Amino acid sequence: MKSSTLNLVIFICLVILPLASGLVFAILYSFGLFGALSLGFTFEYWYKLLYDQTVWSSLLLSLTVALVSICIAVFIALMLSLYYRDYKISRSKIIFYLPLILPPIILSFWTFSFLGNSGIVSRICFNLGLISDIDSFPSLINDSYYLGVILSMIFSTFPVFTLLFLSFYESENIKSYERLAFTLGGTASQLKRKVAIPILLHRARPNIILYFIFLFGAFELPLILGRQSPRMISVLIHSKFNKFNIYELPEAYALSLIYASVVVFTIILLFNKK
Amino acid sequence: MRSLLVVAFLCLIFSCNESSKKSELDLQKADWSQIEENAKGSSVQMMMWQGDPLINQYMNNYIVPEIRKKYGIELKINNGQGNSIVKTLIGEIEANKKKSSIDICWINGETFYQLRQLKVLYGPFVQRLPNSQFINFDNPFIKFDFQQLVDGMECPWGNVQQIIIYDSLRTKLPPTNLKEIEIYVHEHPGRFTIPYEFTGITLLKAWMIELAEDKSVLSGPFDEEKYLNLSTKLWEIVNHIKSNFWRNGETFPESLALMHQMFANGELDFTMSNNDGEVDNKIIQNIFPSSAKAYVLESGTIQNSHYLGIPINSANKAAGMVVINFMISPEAQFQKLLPSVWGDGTILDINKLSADWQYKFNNIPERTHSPKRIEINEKAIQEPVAEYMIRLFDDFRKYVIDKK
Amino acid sequence: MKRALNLFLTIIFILPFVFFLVLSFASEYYYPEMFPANLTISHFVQMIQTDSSILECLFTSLIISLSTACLSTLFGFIVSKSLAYHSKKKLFQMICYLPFAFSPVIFAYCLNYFFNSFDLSGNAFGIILAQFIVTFPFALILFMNHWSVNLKASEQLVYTLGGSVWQTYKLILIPMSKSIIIICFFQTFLISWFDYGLTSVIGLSKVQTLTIRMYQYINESNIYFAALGSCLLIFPPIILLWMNKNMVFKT
Repeated sequence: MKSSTLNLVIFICLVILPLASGLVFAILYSFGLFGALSLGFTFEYWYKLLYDQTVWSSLLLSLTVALVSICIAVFIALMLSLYYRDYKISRSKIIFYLPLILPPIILSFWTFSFLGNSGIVSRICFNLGLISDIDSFPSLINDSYYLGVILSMIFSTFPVFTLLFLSFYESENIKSYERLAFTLGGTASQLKRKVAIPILLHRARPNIILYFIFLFGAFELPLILGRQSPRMISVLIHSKFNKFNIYELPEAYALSLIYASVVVFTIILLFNKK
Repeated sequence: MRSLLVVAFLCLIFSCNESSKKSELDLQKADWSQIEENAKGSSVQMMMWQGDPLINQYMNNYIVPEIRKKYGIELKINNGQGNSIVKTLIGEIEANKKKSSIDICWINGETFYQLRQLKVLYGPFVQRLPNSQFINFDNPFIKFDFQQLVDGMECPWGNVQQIIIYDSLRTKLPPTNLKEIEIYVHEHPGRFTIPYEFTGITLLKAWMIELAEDKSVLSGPFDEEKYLNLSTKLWEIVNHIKSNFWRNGETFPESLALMHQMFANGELDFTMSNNDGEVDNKIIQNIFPSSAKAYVLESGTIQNSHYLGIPINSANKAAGMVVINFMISPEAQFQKLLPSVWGDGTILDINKLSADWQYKFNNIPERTHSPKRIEINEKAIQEPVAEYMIRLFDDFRKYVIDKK
Repeated sequence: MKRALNLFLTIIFILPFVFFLVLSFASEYYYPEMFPANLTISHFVQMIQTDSSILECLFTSLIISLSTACLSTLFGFIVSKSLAYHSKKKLFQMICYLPFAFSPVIFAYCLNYFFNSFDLSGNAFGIILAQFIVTFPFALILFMNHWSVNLKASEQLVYTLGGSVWQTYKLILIPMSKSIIIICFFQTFLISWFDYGLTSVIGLSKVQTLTIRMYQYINESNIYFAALGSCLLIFPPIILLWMNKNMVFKT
């Protein structure tokens, strides 16, 4: 066998096969064709799922949380990178790497200890006399608006994009475009709005979409910092897989398929426009 | 290079399969000494709820080393609450896995019920354990697990009753029935909540029984009509007062440890536990203030037992039995009962023990912050069948949490 | 202004690390005190003396992550070459994005059946394979962009001069790809090192890696141990960062 054929076979076995088999298994299970408790082909689980309000609110919530987080993070990163562009920050740049080495499970523990009702911020407020007791501190963790989750996501995402934009700034030679625009009479704010920002955003588009997918399917953060209703999609699926009512397993697989189709669709979109 | 890798892979796979050859022994007939002999040198995997540091320490720092020393068995513990145990075992049947990845599981109630339905529990095995002679099977709270006869398919491990915990400095007169709780919540907004996990659901069951004003209303098989009737009433009350719960009742803590912490931090006025020995235990650990106290509701709280089971596909049943036998031995039970260790009630009939042990059990440092066992025993309610629990879990979410 | 911003960012980025370090030595950190009442090394002692010590978890995590990183870098490097020069490169790239775009927990639930069937659930080997299924395509993406016309020409040259496959790799391809190989190794190491979803589902929490242990500590609200676990979990990436920041993040 030629080595390139062998490599293709390895690719098929180790990348395509797991994807396909997971998919097929989930499809079979969700239609009641497989499983220790399966009773034969049925649309029942899909039917129940599609009419389940919690599923749709969970999808909507995940989309919103991911969208809000990514937009704010990108905005902060844009501001910072434009602010820092002329500044020799090679030394202070290293601190931007620090949030990247916090795995989500630790990040959520940190957010919990920082913003929780008994967290650092609350303690500071108490000692400064801003709040009179632990209850008067606003809920930022497990709260109605998913603030804890969104803040953690922003915290872990904006440094990535700051670094990314700074590197694009160099590699795309934005400076020379700006100089060109400047000689043509553009003002400083015009340079930013009309030249630098569009180039950076365009260049970072795939990364932004990819990060959006990551945040959309985030698990540990909403598991620890989220609330029970509605829940983000990964957490909802996880809890459906671990329910006391074991007759609902097929629904868990059906929901996984809905989630997967969102991801696949986005990736295809990402590639077709590239 | 590649062939080397393949060889390494194969070695790994075979080394995994090796240990299964041993137990061909007929465990239903063999002598106990043979079973112990057979178990020597094997490794046992136990799946259990690991939500409490002291329980984990009891297992890791007492049971595990003792078992290694006494029987040459390596006991390994991993995290998995009842529902994950069921999920894991279902996955294994579906995949036709011959050798279960669990040898012992900590179960009760709905997990026991589901595992029996799936026919994945090994047994009966309890009567084979020498120490089972001391178990107090006359006690209906031990003999029946959520109304289901234990029948030797799971071995009792501990027996507990639900208590509510409060801080006697902060709360002078804790509410002892549903009406008083309603008033309390109304007067102290944000200071009360129900954990959305088994402890909270256990409280909901006690409330349903209180609403019916009949302790035995839920005994017997699952009754849809009764359930709907009582649960609808209950959801009405809970929904009525939940806006004055912690976080306006929009979210509920999902772990008991978190709830304890919030109680200790002063965010909540009450926490609760299915274990009546927990207050003393947490005070000793400096987690709760020494002014914390426990009580049971006027109309009673649920008392139940928790058990140990062996999956039918376990490859180390002999070793599993030896481990369980040790866990129900007087020494292990005594250790577990100490408030400073865990404070978990024993399932042994103390009168059946030797004089030495009787003396020890009867002179255990008395718990000081929880009412005496005899007092709360009168208010003990038996667990209704598991379906109630399963339904409440779903319906609490549907009719309370998801309801805006 | 610039200074103030710099200071602010430095503080919010460094604070978690300081906090974990202090908290892992703390006891009696009660509300509303700003600082713990006591500093102690007892958590360290306890965690090392306890039966399944955290050092074992550290060791398990290291083995799993190093194996995953080695395997995916090795296979990624070799396999990506054929894919990069293939006419369907675009399609392959797209497929490669899928495994690691999926939420690992959900992917793990859908694959769990197969891991059970092959007796791979609940052991370290299964976890390595599961993580490999995610890190391998990641490595492929990294390497696929690396293979260029330039590299291909140099490779052809060695063949024309009568070099063997082994010689091309040794003399041309590996030296010319050294930096991307190192980056790939560290990135896949980190993906595996940080993984919780795959490890918890496929490993049934039986294989106690550091992230699994961390979750347990958080679950039992054991903040001091959780802080200590965090320190251990962050330690290797900090070393990597200190060695070369590009290993942690590639733009």
